[in-house]
Amino acid sequence: MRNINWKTVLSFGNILKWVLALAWLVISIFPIYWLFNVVFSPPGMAASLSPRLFPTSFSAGITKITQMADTGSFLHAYVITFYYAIVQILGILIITSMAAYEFALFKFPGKDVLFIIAISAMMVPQAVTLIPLFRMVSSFHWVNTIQGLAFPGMASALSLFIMRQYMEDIPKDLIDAASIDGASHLGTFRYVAIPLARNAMFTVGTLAFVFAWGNYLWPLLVSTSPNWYPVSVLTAGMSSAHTYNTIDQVIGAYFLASIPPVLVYIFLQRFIINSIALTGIKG
Amino acid sequence: MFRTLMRKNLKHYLMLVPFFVFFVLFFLWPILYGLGMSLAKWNGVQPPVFVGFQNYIKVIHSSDFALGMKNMVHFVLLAIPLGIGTALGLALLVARFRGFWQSFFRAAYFLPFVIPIFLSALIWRWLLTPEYGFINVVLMKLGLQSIDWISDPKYMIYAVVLVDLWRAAGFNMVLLLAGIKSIPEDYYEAAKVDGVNPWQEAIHITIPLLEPILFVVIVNAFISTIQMFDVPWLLSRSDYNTQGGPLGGMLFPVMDIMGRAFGSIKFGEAAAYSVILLLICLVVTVLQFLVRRWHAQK
Repeated sequence: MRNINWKTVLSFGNILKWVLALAWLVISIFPIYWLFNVVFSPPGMAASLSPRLFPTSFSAGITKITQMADTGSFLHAYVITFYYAIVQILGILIITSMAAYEFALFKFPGKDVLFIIAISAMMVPQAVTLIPLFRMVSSFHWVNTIQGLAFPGMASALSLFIMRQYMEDIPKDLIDAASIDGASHLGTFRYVAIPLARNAMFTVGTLAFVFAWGNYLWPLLVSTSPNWYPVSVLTAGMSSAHTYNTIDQVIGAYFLASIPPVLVYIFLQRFIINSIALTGIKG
Repeated sequence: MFRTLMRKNLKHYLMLVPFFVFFVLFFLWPILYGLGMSLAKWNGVQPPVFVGFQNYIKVIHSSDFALGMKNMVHFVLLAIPLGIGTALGLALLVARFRGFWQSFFRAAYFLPFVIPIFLSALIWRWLLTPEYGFINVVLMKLGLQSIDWISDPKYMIYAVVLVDLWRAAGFNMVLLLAGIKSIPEDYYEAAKVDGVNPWQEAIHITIPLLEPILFVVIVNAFISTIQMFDVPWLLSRSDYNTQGGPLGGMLFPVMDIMGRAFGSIKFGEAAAYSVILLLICLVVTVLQFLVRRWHAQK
């Protein structure tokens, strides 16, 4: 058995550290926990004046969720959101990995200038391009289409940046060896760089999924037909003055909307956290 | 000469083409198009009419512009010191844990950032509802009064700050913690020899060495404030016709842009407002760089 030094464990500094850490833990987790708690409680808890702190009815939660699914529109929005996210992720992965391959591993005239231009987009608020971009997309007749939803976000500066950081760690010797062996430029990219950049792909893909799932402003503009509502637009509209949903249904919808990003985060959090940490140190 | 240079490097440029096609089409061109739009009177149906800088003058003289700027400044003055202070405190706190607990707290604190912004706004709107929202239930249980966070202009800006603080603190904490962990151990060992306590260690070693990352965090915070949309829009139940709730207590610039474009169908004004935001963003960023350089020279 290990010897526990009670003097250290019970020191003022150590207790303070744990109290503060647990306090912020409660603050961070609480809203999500509360959502879960209310969904898995009998109807009426969402607006209760003396709420219980722990879930009491598993069956009530299942009933609310199946009711939500039965309305159809929520399932439909789920499908649309996944469709949008997947198309956008594929686009981002293809175009940013190609560009990052060049920026990370080769020298050619104009490289630095081009990279700075591409990255400068990170400093420009999305709001600046919003209205002209919408006019342009609608002049292409892309309102309520997958192109309209997914294409504008594909040239993601943040993704390019992260991808390049990872690709810079690929040993240059491997690339040279492949080209000496007669591999073409594209072949080296496809069979050497991409397999070695698996972590970069996961990281960029995970971040892109979380952003696409949460995107609200752009779909609000380009998904005007309920057939093209993603989860964000549908959920945000559910509690507006023009609808007749009960608060229990609305909270059930919030819960369903939170599941995919939370699951992705639980399973892939190291990719997300490492990439965020990386942008700070190298940025 | 040029041709041989091109031939040698053509393969590199070809790989960049897909990215830059999307970049030009969906980023660069809209900015230029927006500059053009901002000089015209246009309702999207009739052909645009050139009006010079009239849209800019109209926007700057409108009371909503003043209100949006006031809310933005008010928000920045509250949220940036509070948010960065909290994030720095959390980073220093988490850095004092080791192994499992450090990863655990880091992951848990980051969770709010992964919750979609629109959903965070909706959940908090529910928690802050007068009378039966959880926060007000707790306030009343404590013998205090229920606060109308969502529609009392006295409190509305605090509701926006609260949601932002909850969301962004963990994100900034991760950036700062990575910075803390990259500080060489030697500094702390030298300090330990001198008998320095944790508080002095933070003030004299950690925080000064974190300056570059603090700078990134502050620039990020400004840019995200300028494009603030989801949280105030959903908290105040805005739509294209009315934005920002009672007395515009939550009116932020992007919401105003949306109102001008799709409520009153004045695309020229909306585009002019966007250009003004771009200029504000440039000025703020350049100022921050200058302050930093001046600070470094001192």
